[in-house]
Amino acid sequence: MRKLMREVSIGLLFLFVLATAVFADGSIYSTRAFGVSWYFPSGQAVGMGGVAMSSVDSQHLNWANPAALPASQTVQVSCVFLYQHLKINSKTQVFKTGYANFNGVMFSVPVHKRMGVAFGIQPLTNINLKIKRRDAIKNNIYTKSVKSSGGLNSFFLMIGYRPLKSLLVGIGTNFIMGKMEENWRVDFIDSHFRDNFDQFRTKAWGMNYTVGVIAEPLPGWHLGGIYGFSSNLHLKFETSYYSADIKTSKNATTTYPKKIGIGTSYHWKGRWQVGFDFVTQDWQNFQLGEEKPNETIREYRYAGGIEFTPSRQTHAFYLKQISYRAGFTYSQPYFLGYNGEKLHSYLFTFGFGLPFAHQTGVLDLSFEIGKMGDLEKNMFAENIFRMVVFITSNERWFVR
Amino acid sequence: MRRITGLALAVVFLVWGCGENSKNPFGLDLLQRKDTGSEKLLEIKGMTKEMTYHYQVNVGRSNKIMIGEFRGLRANLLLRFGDLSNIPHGATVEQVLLCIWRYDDVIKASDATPFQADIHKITQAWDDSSITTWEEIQNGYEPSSLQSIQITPEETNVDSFYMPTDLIQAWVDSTENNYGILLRSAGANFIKLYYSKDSAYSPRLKVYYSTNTGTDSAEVVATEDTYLIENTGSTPENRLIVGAGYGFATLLHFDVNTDSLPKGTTVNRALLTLMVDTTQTILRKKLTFVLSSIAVKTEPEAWSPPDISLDSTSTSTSSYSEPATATIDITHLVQNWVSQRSPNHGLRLGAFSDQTELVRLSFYASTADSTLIPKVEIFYATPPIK
Repeated sequence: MRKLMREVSIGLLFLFVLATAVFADGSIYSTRAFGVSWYFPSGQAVGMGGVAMSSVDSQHLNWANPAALPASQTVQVSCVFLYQHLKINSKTQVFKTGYANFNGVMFSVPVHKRMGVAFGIQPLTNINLKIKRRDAIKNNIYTKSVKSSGGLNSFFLMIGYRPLKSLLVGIGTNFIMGKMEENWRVDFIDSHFRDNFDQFRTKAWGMNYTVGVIAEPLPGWHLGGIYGFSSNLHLKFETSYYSADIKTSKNATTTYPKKIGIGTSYHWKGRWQVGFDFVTQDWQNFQLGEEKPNETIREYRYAGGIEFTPSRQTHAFYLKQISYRAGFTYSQPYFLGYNGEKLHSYLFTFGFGLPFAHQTGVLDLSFEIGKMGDLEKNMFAENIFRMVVFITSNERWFVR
Repeated sequence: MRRITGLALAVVFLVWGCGENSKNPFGLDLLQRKDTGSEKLLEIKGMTKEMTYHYQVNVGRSNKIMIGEFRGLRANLLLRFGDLSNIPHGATVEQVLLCIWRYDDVIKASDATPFQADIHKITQAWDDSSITTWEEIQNGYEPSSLQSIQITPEETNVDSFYMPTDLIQAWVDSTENNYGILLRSAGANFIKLYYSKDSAYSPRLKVYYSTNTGTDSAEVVATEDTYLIENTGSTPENRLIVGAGYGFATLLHFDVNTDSLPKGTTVNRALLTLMVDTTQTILRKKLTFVLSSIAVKTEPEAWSPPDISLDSTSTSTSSYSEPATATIDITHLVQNWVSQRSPNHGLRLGAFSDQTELVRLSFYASTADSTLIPKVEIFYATPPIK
């Protein structure tokens, strides 16, 4: 227990140090709908292009499929840190943004040798964009700026059960909550001027359920899938014109769409793993209150990845204990580009699973390099670089 | 663990170093909002309605009194020495000196010259806490002057004047009602201020008298004193006035167009600029003139000053320092009108100085030359709409 706490503390300290100088600017598309969706199912999956539907691994927490929980017989704590760097290209200009922050935490406990429970919090979407303009009225200089921030988060509780040796099932409940803000400011240099501050805020909350299954029809070959039920998502739109002292509020209910994911993976000689995933969520009929934004469509994600771990032995040469991963993701985001055209995202991934403390913990360092959008079709093309760090600690708490 | 942490940190900082944030060059239109709002300037020249009115100010409890005349305002000084008990009954008044101490500055132009002030006997009772206007006393004194004194514009610390001994003798003997004296200027071109009885330097009479036992003197302190302003001039055409001491206020109403300033608009700054007629303005060297504006609750059609209902929660003040223009920040008032927190029934301009101080600001009205008329500049930002 003490050892686990020490490791977790070191991990948190590490993340904290990294996050102290947080970047906070994101995708040019992050003001679309609920923002850019993020998908980091596990430390292992990120390095493998996002392959997680059928992934059964005792050392990693799989957030995407609750059926994977019984795979681990240890108490696990997993913390995530994300660094993102984007180079945003338009036909005339280029600029760069950076974002760094904690990106979720998860805790799982094996309550029985066939059953595991887990809970945690993770972001689903992210909004982070600043736009500034400098101007003057009759030689009075001011800066007009808009800062969009927030996104949807999921606080989840999952239970996984292994009814048969080759079958795992699970169910998860997600409390979806989020706050999305758009702060408009006009700041004059002359202090005699009163500055503007107007704010649009959308609060969202709701609950949905996900069921998952993983089967092993043949030794080493896994098939998996999830079904996320659609649910009501309550929205509260607040508008505040602070100087004018006008505040309005409007409630609405929309549907958080169902999500379907399927995948397969093959483990070979205990050292190799290869997998493929397909995940989709239909945002086509999504409405923001009474308005249909006409900027949401069906989201697709295809992923494929491979992992190689030279040795699982704790006494092996350290470089042999490291897991080496690579993958590829193609996705069509759930929102359209600014000119109404569909976007396409391509990501190459690679990563390393770095075991520590005699393989009771693992630090997964994963990188995503790719592109979203096309300069000709979508006005903007983003070059993406992400580094995702998972620190997962495994400890046997209840074993005498 | 240390090795891994070190490695990870090295990678992170390497990546970090490579990535440098730069300013987003894209405009607000990118957000595709219904309206991204705009920042503009609205200039309103001239008022839809304006009027200046006089209101009464009681200055009897002020710590100053004054005498003289300047730019159409004549200050008449009233003094009463009600308690003569220091002077023995039967004494003969030999000589009387009025001693008054100068207060602050002298209201004058550069060409100020000494003037004569006539001393008149007041024939009616008065009380400095209630008497307010010259009209209340203008028939209550003997028109014939008992004596004249000379007032000089020099900033002397104390002025002493001989007083008519017969009158003081009559008060001592109780053969005349002691209602005090009136000091009234003739042809003055400055106003001199003195400390009143409500200060540490009360005006006093130094009475030299003789009795059977010899000569002696006694000091008699003023028991009532005040000054009453007489408007001897006429306001030129196309002028509006604000002032204190002899109260003037001005009501102004201008049209704030709600089409160009929708409800959610932020008023970044609203300035009312007045072109000052310096020839009609009375300023004090050692007193800052503060203009005050306060929202009017009475509709312009129903303005009937001085009965004007005011919104004391919506006020602003501004020091007047430039000689040619006076500017007052009315951002708060205009924001209230634009946000429809209160209706636009105009504003009342007044002098925020102590109402017993004699100051006046004269400015051109909307009927004057277009370059001189009042002007309102509203810097505003219309709200974004998502």
